[in-house]
Amino acid sequence: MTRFPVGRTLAWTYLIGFLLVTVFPFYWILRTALSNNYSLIAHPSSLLPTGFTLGAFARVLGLSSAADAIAEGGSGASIDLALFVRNSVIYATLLTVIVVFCSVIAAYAFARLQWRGRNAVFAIFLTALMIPGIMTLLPNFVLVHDLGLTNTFAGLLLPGALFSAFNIFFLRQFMLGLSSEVEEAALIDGLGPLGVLFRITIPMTSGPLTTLGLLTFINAWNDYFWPLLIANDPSVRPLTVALGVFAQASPQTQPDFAGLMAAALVAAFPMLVLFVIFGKRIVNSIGFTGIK
Amino acid sequence: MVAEATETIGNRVLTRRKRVSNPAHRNDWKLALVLIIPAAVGFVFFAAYPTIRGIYLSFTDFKILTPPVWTGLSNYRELISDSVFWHSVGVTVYFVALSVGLGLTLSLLTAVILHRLTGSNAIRGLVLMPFLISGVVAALIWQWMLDPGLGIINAAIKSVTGHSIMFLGSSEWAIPSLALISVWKSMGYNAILIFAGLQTIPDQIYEAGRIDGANEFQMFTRLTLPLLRPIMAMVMVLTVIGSFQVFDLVAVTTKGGPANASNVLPLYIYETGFGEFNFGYAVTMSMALFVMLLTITFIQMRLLRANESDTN
Amino acid sequence: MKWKRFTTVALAAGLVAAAAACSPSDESSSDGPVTVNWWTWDPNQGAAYSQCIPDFEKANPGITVKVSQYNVSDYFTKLTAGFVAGDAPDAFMNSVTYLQSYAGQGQLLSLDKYIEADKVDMSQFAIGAEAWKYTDDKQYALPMDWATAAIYYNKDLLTKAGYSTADVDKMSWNPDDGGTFWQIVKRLTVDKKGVRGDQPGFDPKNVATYGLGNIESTGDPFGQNNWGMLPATDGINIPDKNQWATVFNYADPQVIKSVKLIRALSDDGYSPQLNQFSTAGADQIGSGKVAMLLGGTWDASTFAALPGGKVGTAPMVTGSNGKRALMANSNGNNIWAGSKHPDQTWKWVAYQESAACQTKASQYNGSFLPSIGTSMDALAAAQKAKGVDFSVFAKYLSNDELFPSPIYNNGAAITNAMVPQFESYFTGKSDESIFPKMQEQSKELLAKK
Repeated sequence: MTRFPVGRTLAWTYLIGFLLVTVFPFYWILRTALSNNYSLIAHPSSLLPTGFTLGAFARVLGLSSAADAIAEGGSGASIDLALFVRNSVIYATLLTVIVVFCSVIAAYAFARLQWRGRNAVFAIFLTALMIPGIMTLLPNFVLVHDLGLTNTFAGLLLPGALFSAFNIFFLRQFMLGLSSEVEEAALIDGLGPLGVLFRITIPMTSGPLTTLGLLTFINAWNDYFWPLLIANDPSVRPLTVALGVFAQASPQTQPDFAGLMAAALVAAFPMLVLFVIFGKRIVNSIGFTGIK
Repeated sequence: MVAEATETIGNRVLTRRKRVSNPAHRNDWKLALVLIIPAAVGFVFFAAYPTIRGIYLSFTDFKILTPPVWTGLSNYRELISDSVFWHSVGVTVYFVALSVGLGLTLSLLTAVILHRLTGSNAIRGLVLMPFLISGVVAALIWQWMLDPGLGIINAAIKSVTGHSIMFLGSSEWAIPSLALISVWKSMGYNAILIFAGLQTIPDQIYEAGRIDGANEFQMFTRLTLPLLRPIMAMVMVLTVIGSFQVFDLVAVTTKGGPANASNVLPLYIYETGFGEFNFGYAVTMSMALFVMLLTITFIQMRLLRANESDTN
Repeated sequence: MKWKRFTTVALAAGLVAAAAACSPSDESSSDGPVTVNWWTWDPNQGAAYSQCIPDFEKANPGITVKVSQYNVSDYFTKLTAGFVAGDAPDAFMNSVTYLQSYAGQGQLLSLDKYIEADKVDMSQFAIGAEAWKYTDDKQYALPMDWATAAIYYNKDLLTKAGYSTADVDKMSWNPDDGGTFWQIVKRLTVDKKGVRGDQPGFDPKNVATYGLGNIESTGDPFGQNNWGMLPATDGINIPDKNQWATVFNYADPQVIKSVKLIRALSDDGYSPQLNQFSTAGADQIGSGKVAMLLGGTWDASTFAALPGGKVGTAPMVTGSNGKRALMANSNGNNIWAGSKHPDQTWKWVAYQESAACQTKASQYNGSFLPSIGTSMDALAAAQKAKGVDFSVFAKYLSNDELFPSPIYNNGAAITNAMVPQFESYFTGKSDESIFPKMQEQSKELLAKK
């Protein structure tokens, strides 16, 4: 049966509209970031950059003097890009590696090993899914504060790095769905469960592992609330918080629009690069999380 | 050992197996212990303990820089009579309703259309772009685009109606605008999730439907939707839980204003704790939020019968 | 082999973790270079005080000063969050609103022993020293600047409406009809068809030029620096006492009359709505969107710098008796009790508040009025030479028209409670019935610590 062409046209119209709405803001950031603040006020809706200048980027990256910055409507604040990118990289990478590792081994214990109380403990772990982040945010802050770990990477990482109910759940479900033939065969051949875990199960789970890894990395990279509480010192402050700080340093009389957009672009840039490189992977792996 | 039956549907091999316990596995507790220790430590210290400590702190007057002082139920009494709190709950629920309602509808629509029109990776990639950036970045872009004087959206609106709308600056539009930004940010991700779910529905089912004479719309409502129920349920539950905890968007744009119109609960909690030192009360509010989420999730799961899938 | 790759990754992670755990190093030892962090909410003052840094660092090798600025709407929460998390700046500009909350929580360092040791002459501060004494009689800040309101007007629009500077200089206000101030504002308002606000046929929905910029933005419990200046200048005070008020008299009939009148101004089209313009006052007045602004003394040099010399300065309006009573906020330089380098921080703060730095910094961009009398005079003279008239402000001092802005308990909580309610009132979401409730609320909050 043929589908009505009208339906197709409508569908394509919708899709194109959807894509426009999705992508236009990104173009708009670029256009604004390349404009001069005062021209922006005069020509707010020109589709091309108005009063073309790289000044905003210079301000954001700390390459422009305070006087120049204030002259262009900025505030003299800047983002020490190298430092904050470094912090974000450390935070996101460590968090991802540690939590995926801890989750996959725990998932194996729940999916493949037999031990008393296994299901009970799993159920208990799952209750953590019911605890909203906001609930543990403040008490975790108090704990990290009491441990003296504020403004350290350890403090930043700890709450999220060891335990992730979602990851364990997801991996365990996946493992349960895997055919255990190969593992059984290996066990019979004399390879211990630990060996099976590392040589067989984990490789077989590489798909979901990549998925979880990518998702965790992106979430950690974009994390704002927790680092806002814990990681304000420039030595640990990640890029998201730095962007927030930059936005807060906007002259109160008039926001530094161009500077803000340049900063936003700078902050989003690493993820966009990652996307260009790993795009297909990311797209496909998101699909995985949907399938139980 | 294991009894198996396999069948091939599409290009996926489904294995149904009956598990027979293997004597070799009976006592793995030592290894299991080792393997779950990191996660267990994380769970105990950073999920269980904070929850319990949180419950304790909610009964105290805790100014964070001085030790907590037990005050019994006074925080809870204050909570009940705190009109700002209840207003905040209302504001948050409004936000969630808008962003989940609109978001899911759009995501579903987009997923279905994508499924029908094209499997192009490029398009799926574009759809996902907003997901990659942080809430802070999304908030800043949209705040700029929605600016009453200089934003491009208002420029368009002004050319049509002659007046601009104060999106983030007026009490009526603050939450809807924030919901809009939230939807923009997450609809691509949800669409891809649902899209993946759509892909798992075997074509045979549609074949059968067409042979039975069903049209597109009927197939959608009678076949697609029910089969998608588990995915939709999961997406809905997760989106609701996530939306209730919205913070980045609001903190960077409206900061709760104007006149508390966008004072969502996480923001109010943050201000109370970190802006006024009043940690005890802030934790009490977190507890209230927890109870609310628990209740809503429970109701949702019930309503959606998420555990079952209608594959009959 | 996947297993090997995994171990390598794990090992690498471990190494990075170890490195990261060691990396946040800071100079916590008192020898070696020390960085003193100083915060302000005013970017212009940030730039101004940065002018003092080179001289200071030369005289104090081993101390580097870093100035950071945050938007005033985020500033105080950031500060408090810093106290809580232990990463607050060493010293910071502060407003008396928060003296009690911060001192009460032990976050401010008392400066008496330093003042004595260095023999700082507190009498050189013409205004503000007393404001920073807490109830324990200790001095918690060195006064930085003083600030109050002023009227700025677009000279062309004024002449077009037929007014002279003499008219603007003696505007008065009262809560019944707004006095000559309101009259002038209405006349200055012009709708898109050219009809003035005081002529028949004026269309409040299509205004081309507003007579007065929006004054409803409320940053604190009684509209200081904005609408709150008006009732105050007519002798109508909201706090019952200037120091450590016990109640804010929102329900006082005079207060209610005042606030109603102020709201009516924008409702009737003579002033823009709250949040209607997101651009700065300078743009609004420069482009003719508004004819007059109720601004602060800190705006003077920004307006003076507008091309074409378009903006004039007039003193804040008088009350119905022809006299001015202006709240003057004196900002103070606080040192954080948790600072790791209090001695070095004190050196910077003391230098900042010395006549040398005050004179230099204030003359850099005219962004603040120094508390030190001699520096203030020097500033007025220097600005005059540049053609900018600061005489209006100097006259405030010499005519004794200022009174210190009120100090009270629980600043953060009260501000957070009252500001949204005022916003709600001014945007028409609530009416006068909220004021008695607010008054009761203020009593409660002021009694708490």
